[in-house]
Amino acid sequence: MESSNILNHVMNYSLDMICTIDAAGRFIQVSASCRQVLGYNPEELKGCFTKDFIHPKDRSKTVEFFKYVSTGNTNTSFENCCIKKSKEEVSLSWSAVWSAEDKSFFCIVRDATAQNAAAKEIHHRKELQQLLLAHGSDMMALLDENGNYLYVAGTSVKTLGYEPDQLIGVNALHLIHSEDVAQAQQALILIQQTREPVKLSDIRIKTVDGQWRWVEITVSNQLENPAIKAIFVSSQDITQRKRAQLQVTQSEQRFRSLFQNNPDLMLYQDEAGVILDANPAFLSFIKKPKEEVLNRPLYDFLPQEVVPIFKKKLEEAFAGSEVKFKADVNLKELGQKILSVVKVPLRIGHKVVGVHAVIKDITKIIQAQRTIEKQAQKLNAILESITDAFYTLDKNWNFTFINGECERVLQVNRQALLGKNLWSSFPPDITQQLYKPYQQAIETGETIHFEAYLNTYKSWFDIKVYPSEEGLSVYFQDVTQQVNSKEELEKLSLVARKITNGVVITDAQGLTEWVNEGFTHITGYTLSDIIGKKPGTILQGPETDPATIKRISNKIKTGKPFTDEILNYKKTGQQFWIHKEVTPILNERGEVIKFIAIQNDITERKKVAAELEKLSLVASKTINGVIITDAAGRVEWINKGFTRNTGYTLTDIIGKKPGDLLQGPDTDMQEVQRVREKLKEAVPFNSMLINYKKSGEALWISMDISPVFDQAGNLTQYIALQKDISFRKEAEANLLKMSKDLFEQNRDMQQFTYIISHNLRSPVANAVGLSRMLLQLDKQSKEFNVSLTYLNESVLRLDEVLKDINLILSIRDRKNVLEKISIPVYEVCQQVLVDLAEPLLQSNGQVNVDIEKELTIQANRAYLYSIFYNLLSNAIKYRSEKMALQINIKAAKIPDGGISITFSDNGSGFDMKKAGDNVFKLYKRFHPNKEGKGIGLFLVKTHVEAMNGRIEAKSQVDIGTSFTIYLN
Amino acid sequence: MKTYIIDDEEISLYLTRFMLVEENFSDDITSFLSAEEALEVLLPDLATTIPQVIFLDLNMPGMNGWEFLDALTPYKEQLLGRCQIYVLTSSLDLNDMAKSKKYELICGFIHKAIGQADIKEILTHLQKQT
Repeated sequence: MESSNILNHVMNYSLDMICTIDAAGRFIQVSASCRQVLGYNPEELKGCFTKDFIHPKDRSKTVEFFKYVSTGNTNTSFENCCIKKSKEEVSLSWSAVWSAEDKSFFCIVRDATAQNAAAKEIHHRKELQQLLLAHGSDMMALLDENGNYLYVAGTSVKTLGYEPDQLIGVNALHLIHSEDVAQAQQALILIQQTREPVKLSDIRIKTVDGQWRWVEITVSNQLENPAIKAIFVSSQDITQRKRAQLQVTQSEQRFRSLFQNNPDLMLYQDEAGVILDANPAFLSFIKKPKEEVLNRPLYDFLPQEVVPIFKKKLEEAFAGSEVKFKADVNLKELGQKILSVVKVPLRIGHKVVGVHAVIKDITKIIQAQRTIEKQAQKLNAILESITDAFYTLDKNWNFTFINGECERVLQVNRQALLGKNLWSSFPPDITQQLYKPYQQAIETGETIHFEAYLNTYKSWFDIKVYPSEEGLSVYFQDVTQQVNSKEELEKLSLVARKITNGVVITDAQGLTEWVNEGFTHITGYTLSDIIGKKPGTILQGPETDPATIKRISNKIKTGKPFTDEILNYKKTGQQFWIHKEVTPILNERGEVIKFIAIQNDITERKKVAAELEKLSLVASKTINGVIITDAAGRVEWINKGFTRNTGYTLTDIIGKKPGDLLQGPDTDMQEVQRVREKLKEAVPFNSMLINYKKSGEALWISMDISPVFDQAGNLTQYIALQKDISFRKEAEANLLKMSKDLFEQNRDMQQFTYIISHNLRSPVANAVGLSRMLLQLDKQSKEFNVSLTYLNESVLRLDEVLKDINLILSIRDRKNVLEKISIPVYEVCQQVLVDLAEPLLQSNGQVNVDIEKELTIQANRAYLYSIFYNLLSNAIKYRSEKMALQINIKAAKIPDGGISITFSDNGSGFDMKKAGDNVFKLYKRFHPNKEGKGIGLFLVKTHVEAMNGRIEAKSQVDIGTSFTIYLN
Repeated sequence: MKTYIIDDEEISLYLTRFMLVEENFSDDITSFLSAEEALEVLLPDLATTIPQVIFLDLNMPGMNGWEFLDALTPYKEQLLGRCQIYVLTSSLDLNDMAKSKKYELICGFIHKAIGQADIKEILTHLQKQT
């Protein structure tokens, strides 16, 4: 009973829950402490399945535990998680035993929380210790008194790389760096003396692969400690820390070094701006020793005007921001400086404890910058101004620079394109053409120069690619025109090569670039002889006219097309004349880039021209007229002589046929016709014509006309030489007249002599015969008297003839010295009428006189008288038997200034045909039966002609006769 | 023998006739003062009228000696051999002498004044003819 009471007491008062569980798992009995443990009353648990209160996750585990216990094993501890009434989870520790007799489990259940916690704590500590052991102290070793390893533990494997076994027996000092061995040895000695643990720091230990690691060693003498009996060494790998330290030291040193050696001025300031530290650069800059500078505010060294900004910036720095600014500072002796100031706050934790000021004298830099800027601007300007389009690419084919011209030509926006990739910025037809050359430039590092036709722009471009360190520089130009020109030039050059004229192409300076075969053919010089030189220097020679050279030179400068002629020399030295046509070739800006000269050998022409010049000189100077016409006969040129002769100037006559202007009413048209025909024949000929001056005056012209032919034999011109032969003609006419006169006179003379001889001879012959007869005749005979009478007659007749001769000769002789005075015609006529009044009366003649009383002529009175007398007496003598004699005398003025006297009668007339020109001949009588010697009309004619007049006779038999006298 | 003398001068006719008579040249002498007159007689019937001798002067007004001869030329067949025509002129002109040689009808050329010698010569010539 006591045992059950004790048991009950135990059950009731034990803090642990004591319970019995049947084989099925149901609670049979549960102690009161189940309230504390699970929160349920015992009554609540009795008969319930244990598993209902076990956390689902541990249910199977619990089943296993009970199974295990049921086999007879005694397991005093098993933990699982149960669920209290409050739905809290609780860790419970179970001790259970199977009672076979009771067929139940006998369990003691305990809240394992605290236990667990404690266990955890212990575990934790243990772990901690382990950790400390493991990590805190990297190596724990036990050494013997000599320092050899007895035992090694810890993470020495990790850190040093040794397996613990490796080190056993090894002397620890062997692992220590030679520099630190002494220290270690000392420590060993020390601990043996003092028993205090000795700490060694900064010892280097060799790792398995020969590296060094820093360790901190605590050596403790535990030789006397029975539990240990060794020197306890605990070492801590402080390599990291050491390194960190070293780094800090290093960086401190570095900083220090930086600070000291920095060429920039460095200061360390506090919040008030006081200089706490300054580097040598600063000191030398302001030329002050350190003592003077330290603990003084920076502002002491600055001019007043910049202090505010420095202050402000310092504040900002102390506020925590790094400040940068520039200041223009006038530092008196040092001059005007530009300083760049950077203030860096030094933070420790969250607080700014000071500011590092880094000051740079950037005066020069700024100046340099400005210079660079200017240069850059200049460069930019240059790059912009280069007439080529220009862009640069970096090594990745991105645009790094594009100039304005490039923008314009490619029609792109500079800003949009900068930085973009070339290949992606342009269409394939462009990039295809550019890729290979660009690539080649990059690879070979050589300049590439090529032409490409870019369809997008419908233009030809001349592209130069320069590789550089940065990438590529590309210069290009739109050379469409040049290409076109070049194509043109090529076409032309084909022509030029082949044509027989000489063609020379020079650059803008006139230096020969090319000559064709024709040139070589003409001059004898090949291209190699003349290339690069001015044609003139090669071709001109001693006799080339300097004025022409200069003229040509000037014309070239004007840059306009021109022609000229000049004397050149062949390679052989032979002279020849050329005719040059020079045409300049311009680029799109209108600047001359080339000259083309086409040359013709005009030596022949020049010779001809020289000839012509000479001739023209002759022609112009000669007093004769010279006309040059074209092949159609139209005037091309006349000389001064022509104008002098005809009064027509070149302007009057040019382009017209000379005849049109020069011919006139008296021009012999037959001769004109003959001239025309001769012209057609194209042979030289002469013609004499009457031409008319501009004034209308007529003149005789003798023309020598020569046709002119060119080398081919074609008629090109006529040359006519005109001589004014009026004078000659006049002279001729005069001569003709004179000779005619002379002839007539001669004839007259002959006749005269003939007649005289006859008329003299006749009476003489008779006289001779008669006198002979008389000598034979009887003086008394009738015949004697008759003969004598006849003799007398004959002699008398002879005498008369002699008198006539005398008279006639005297008229003739006086012809040139005849006195002429103004004679009133009427008066003379009247006188004659008076003197012949009786015969008139006897013949019943009637005279009608029609003469103006005022009419006078310059004449010889006697002659005039004789004329009238003879005519009148003839009229009386040869009057008609059948009708009464009527005589009409008329005198009148005639237009040319003379007078005409007409003497007509109605007498018997004479047969004009028969008389012929014997009318006025001496001793010619036409009327056999009438008296009259036949000298009357002869005398009249002689008188008339002595007065430079003339007489005409008309007559009809039985009708009458009329004489007309013309006197001046 | 039938003889004609053609001369425009009376004196000349007289002289010539006298000489012819004096030399017994002919007793049938006819004088004409103009050639026209002589022609009028000669022609229409030349065969009958034809004289044996004609003494012809050259220088006559109207028809001169040459013209007379020209007028007779158509009949020269009839005249040649039958009629001797002698030019009797005072002219000394050589041209006249030359001209006379061209005329077939002219048998001789005599300068005035006709002389004995001339007549005798004619007579001789005439006798030869017959």
